[in-house]
Order: sequence, then structure tokens, then C-alpha cells
Amino acid sequence: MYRVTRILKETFSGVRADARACLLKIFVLTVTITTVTCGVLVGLQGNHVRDYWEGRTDVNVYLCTKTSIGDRCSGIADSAAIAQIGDILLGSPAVKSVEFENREAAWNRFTKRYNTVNLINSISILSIPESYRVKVVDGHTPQDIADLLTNVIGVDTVTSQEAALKPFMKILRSAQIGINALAGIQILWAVLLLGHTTRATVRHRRSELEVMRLVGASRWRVRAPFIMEHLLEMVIGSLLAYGALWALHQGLYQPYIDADTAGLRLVDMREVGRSLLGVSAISSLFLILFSAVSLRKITR
Amino acid sequence: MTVRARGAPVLCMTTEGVNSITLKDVDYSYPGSRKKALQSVNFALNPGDFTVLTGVSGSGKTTLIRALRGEIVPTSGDLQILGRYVRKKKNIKSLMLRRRIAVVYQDFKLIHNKTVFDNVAYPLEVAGYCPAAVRARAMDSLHALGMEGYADKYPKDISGGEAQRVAIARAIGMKPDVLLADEPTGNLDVRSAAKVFSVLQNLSCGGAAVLVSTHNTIFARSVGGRMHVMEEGELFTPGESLV
Repeated sequence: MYRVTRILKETFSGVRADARACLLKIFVLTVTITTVTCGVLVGLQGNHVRDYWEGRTDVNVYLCTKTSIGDRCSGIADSAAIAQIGDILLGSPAVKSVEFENREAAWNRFTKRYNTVNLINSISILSIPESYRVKVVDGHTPQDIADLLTNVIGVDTVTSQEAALKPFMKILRSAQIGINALAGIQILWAVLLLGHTTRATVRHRRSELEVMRLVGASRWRVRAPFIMEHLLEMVIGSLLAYGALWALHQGLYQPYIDADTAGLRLVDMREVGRSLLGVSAISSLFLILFSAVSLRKITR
Repeated sequence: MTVRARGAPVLCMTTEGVNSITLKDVDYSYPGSRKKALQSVNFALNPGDFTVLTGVSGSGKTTLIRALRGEIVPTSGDLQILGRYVRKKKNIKSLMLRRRIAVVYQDFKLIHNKTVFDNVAYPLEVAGYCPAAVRARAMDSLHALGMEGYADKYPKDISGGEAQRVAIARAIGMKPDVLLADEPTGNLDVRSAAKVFSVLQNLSCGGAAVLVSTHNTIFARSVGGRMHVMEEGELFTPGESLV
């Protein structure tokens, strides 16, 4: 306990002696941890989006409503047409699974998602289509389903989720690449800056460290206050980064979390915390490595 | 055992053994220099020895102290420190040597962001002594040098002579097997210098080997002990003890 107290005392004495370098390191760590964690979180959100859509329909087969104007429609699709379409889909080798959504369920989903009174008042339940949600067997495409239903009465439109999602996924991928590139630049910058600052700190305290070795301090004993100092900076940097990420999460995500996202999972604060812990742990290892390299000559 | 000649300073019995440092025909040249800083030096420092090394500046006193501490590897000859032959650089990195051989440097080598007390306590603390022992030994050492009133001051707040005494207090606090002092009285007045020598002699009576280097020949003669003279890297031993 006495040793720990002495090491802590030396740690704080070192921080006081070189407060500016310490503040600089905390600032760099905060920015780096925030940016890198953001990169990790965007990646996580991308995974959530992919999981969400992969577990859902590949193709939507919308049936005719009273307002449909397609060639295959002459009013609302009747039960015989619905059953026939179901049979065709279930009989096709391109179809993995089929799920029917009736008008009431579709209406409920619609009103829940677009809960603006004006919009709901202007739309009748009869104009909401019933639909088959079809998952396609691997190796087949949504177009195979569209071809299957080309001349089937009662089918209004066949839409592919993949086509609808393509632009969104493209944006998400671009955001991921962009933020990862930014994080990469930030890591490089941080490595250079932290490495330099650590070396400067060691140079500044070189004579003190050499005397410590001369009077019998072990390598570990000389390094320990430096390691503690880095851990302290890391803890403060991580806490500040957590605050920044919490603010970002509140500003960007909370409105969507409060609203209905139709089951799409958004990154939550637990995931933010876990990612931040991981990034902080890796950064700590880097910092300890820097100080070990910088102290190598002195502690030889 | 203490031997006292009439009117002479206190000297102690010496014994050869694993706590000795011996040099046999040691030569040393600094890297890049042809000049020998040490030339065929034969020397032994045994427990209980109180040895004074004198010579003009640049004669090789500091190099000899570095060799005794194992900071340099001889170019040729045998150097044995506390039972170990020093033939490779890696042999002299030992933590044990740094804890058993204390050195008082010309430039004091105090840690500037630690108080006088912390400077003296640091070697004890890193050697693993308990807090009470650290405190007691550090305060005893400061007291022996008349520096107990300066315990809370920082090295920048004390004079060169006081810093010198703190450096000596740090060295004796370690209760080393060997104490090497390079010009330990260079910054001290005659009275303080006499006090420092008395402390160092007491240490040698306790069984430690003490070597003091000084360029002040007159002072060296007055303190007693075995005297050796360095000249151009060679070590001469006057034929008789000074006692």
C-alpha cells in the first residue's frame, strides 16, 4: 500500500510538473477516442441495418385495391385471387417463405408509422393494399418472383426491397468509409503527437529518471509513475469522450429512438460504452508502449 | 574492530572477501580516445577500508570511481565487484550493485521535484523498506549531516554545500557495502567538511568500504586513511599509511 501511495504521489507530482503536456495528451485522447468510437458505432449501426433487412422480406407483392389502376386490377383483389397468388408463390422453387399481411394489419402498421392526423384522415383503409411478403431462395432474384406473377390477376405491383434499400445502403457504406478514413487519420495523428509528447516528457525528466535508476530503482519502479500517468490521462480522456458521444447520441439518435423505427435497432448507449471501453483499452496499450520505448534508454 | 593511533582519526579493521572491489592491471580508454584514462591500475577496496584518492583534475579519479561502481568495463585487466567479474556491459546493470554501492556525485544528482527528505528516503523506499524504517533511517542520515531542519525544502531552495550534504545523507542512509564519494567536500567549508569525513569514517567503522576522492591533497592528508594518488591515469600508493 505504501508503495502504491508513493507511486501515486510521484504520478501527481509528474502531472503537476508537466501539466501542459498532460492537458495536450488528454485533449488528443478525447478527440481520438471519440472519432474512433464513432467509426466503430457507424459500423455497428450498419450491421444492425443489414441484420434488420436480412431478417425481413426480400420482395413485397402488393395486391389490388379499389384505387389500383394496373392491368391486372379490376377493384379489390378477392379472396379467390389472394388464394391463387398464395398458391403460385408457395409452389415456386424460387420462394423460401411467404407471409400474408391483411388490410387491418397493414393499416395498423401504416397509422403507427405515419401518425399525422391530416395524413391518416386523407387516406381510407380501403386504399391500403394487402400484401404477400416473400423471402427468396439464395440464387434466385426478386425479378424471378415478378416474372412468376406477370399475368396473375389481383397483383398490383411487385417491389424488391433490395432495390429500395440500395441507395440507403450505399449512403451507409459511404458514411462508414468516410468515418473510418477520418478515424484512421486521427489515429495516425494521435500516434505521432502522443509519441512525440511522451518522448518530450521523458527528455524533460531524464536527469530525474537517471538519478532514480542510479540510487537503485528498478525498471518497473521508474516506469510505474509514467504508466499511472498515462492511465490517468486515458481515464479522463475516455470520460470526456463518453460525454461527447452521449451528447451526439442524444442529438442524433434520441428523436428516432423515441419514434417508431419499425423494429430497426439503433445503436444504444450500452453499445456506445462497450465500444468506447474497447477503444480506450487499445489506446492504453499504445500509450504504455510509447512510454516503454521512450524510457528504454534510461531504464537500460 | 576499531584501531586508533594516538592523535589520529578513527580507522577500522579491514577484511577481504566477497564485499571487496578489486582491480588487477586494469586499463581503460574512453571510446574514440587513444589516451588511457586508467593505466595498469591495481587496487583493492575491502570492507572497513577508508581510502582517500587524490590527484589533480583530469588525473582519472572520476574514471576510477566509475570503474569501481561498474559503470565502465575495463579495456583490459580484471575488475571484480562484490564477488562478480565485470567483463561485459550487461554484468554491470545489476540492481543489486546499485543498491549496495552508493555514490556521492560531484554534481549531487538530487531529484529536483522531491523534497530533501524524499530524496534521502527514495533509495530506501525502492529497496523495499517499510515506511517506519524509511522515515527513521532517512531522518537519522539527515541528522548525522546536520540537515534535519531542511527535510521539507526542495533542492532548489538550498545551497550547494547543503545539497552536497543531502547527497551524502542519501548515500549513508542506504547503509551501503561500498560508498564512493567524488569530491564530497568540494562545496563545503572546513568545519562541514570535517563533519562529513567523520560521518564517512563512522560508516567505514560499521564495515562499509569507503573511498573518497578529492583534489585537495592537504585536506586528504589531514583526514587519515589509506591514501592513493592518481596521475595521468596511473595509481600510486605512498609507501606508508598516513596514520
